Amino acid sequence: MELVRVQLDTLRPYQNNPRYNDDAIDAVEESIEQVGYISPIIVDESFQILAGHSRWKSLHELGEDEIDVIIVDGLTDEQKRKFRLLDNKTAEIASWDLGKLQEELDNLDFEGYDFWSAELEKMADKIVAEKPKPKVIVCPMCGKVVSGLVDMDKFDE
Amino acid sequence: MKLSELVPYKNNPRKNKSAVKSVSESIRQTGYNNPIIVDENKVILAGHTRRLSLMKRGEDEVQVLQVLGLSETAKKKFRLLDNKVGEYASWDYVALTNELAALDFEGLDLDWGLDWKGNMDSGEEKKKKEKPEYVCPECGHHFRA
Repeated sequence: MELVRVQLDTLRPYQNNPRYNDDAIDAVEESIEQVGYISPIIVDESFQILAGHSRWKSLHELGEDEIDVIIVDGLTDEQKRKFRLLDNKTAEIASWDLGKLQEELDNLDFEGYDFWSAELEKMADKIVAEKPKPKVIVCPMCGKVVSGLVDMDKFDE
Repeated sequence: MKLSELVPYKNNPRKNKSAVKSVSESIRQTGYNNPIIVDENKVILAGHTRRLSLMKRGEDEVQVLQVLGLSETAKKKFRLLDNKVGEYASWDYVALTNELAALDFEGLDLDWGLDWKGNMDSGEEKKKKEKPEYVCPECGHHFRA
């Protein structure tokens, strides 16, 4: 594994990249503009992309010419194919800790770009969900409004 | 760098324990190709799960990418955005099916989301089961609500 500086044109996309990333380009570009290009694209010895197709497209859009990439040498074709999939797939397993995220977002300015609406909504939902709400049940057969019914599933247990 | 020198960020906002097993297995099968990124103080900017996975594998020294000169604000934003922007892309299921053909993940159990019908059916059934069942004291009707 080695960090080298190359012309952006040297990189070649993988012909069967299984990621649909058109929706990501805008966000990746915005991230690069706000914090810089920090996480380098990873390529094999023939400069074919192993990870970083969205970054590659975004850097093109931003008009970059030369960039740093990580070259990984000596993987088998099977390992390359697996890595392309697993690098994306394993990233899906971890999730946001909304409490800590809220602390991190405090005082950060994302310059008007809407990265966090889904998480902020969940944080708001969580606050609402924490308040106990009375449950009113109406029998769908006779229409009687009842409360304090036996939960049959619990009864079965 | 010694793995033990790396410093996890104190308020890493990712719940990553469940990912450690898969990331360890990915490193075993394909290698450690995507280096952990740290700042000048060896505090992790990206790669908390990889750190735990490499520890689990008993690694001692690893290559990391050290980035110098970022402001504290840029570090905080990068930690969040590096995870966030990855969520915007999705799978091209046709290409994914082609890629998965003839690949053997040696027992690593991952849900690639290709078994859609099955997922939808089991999802609906699960929903039904989640609602508790009641008996109306008035008419004796059993229902879920």
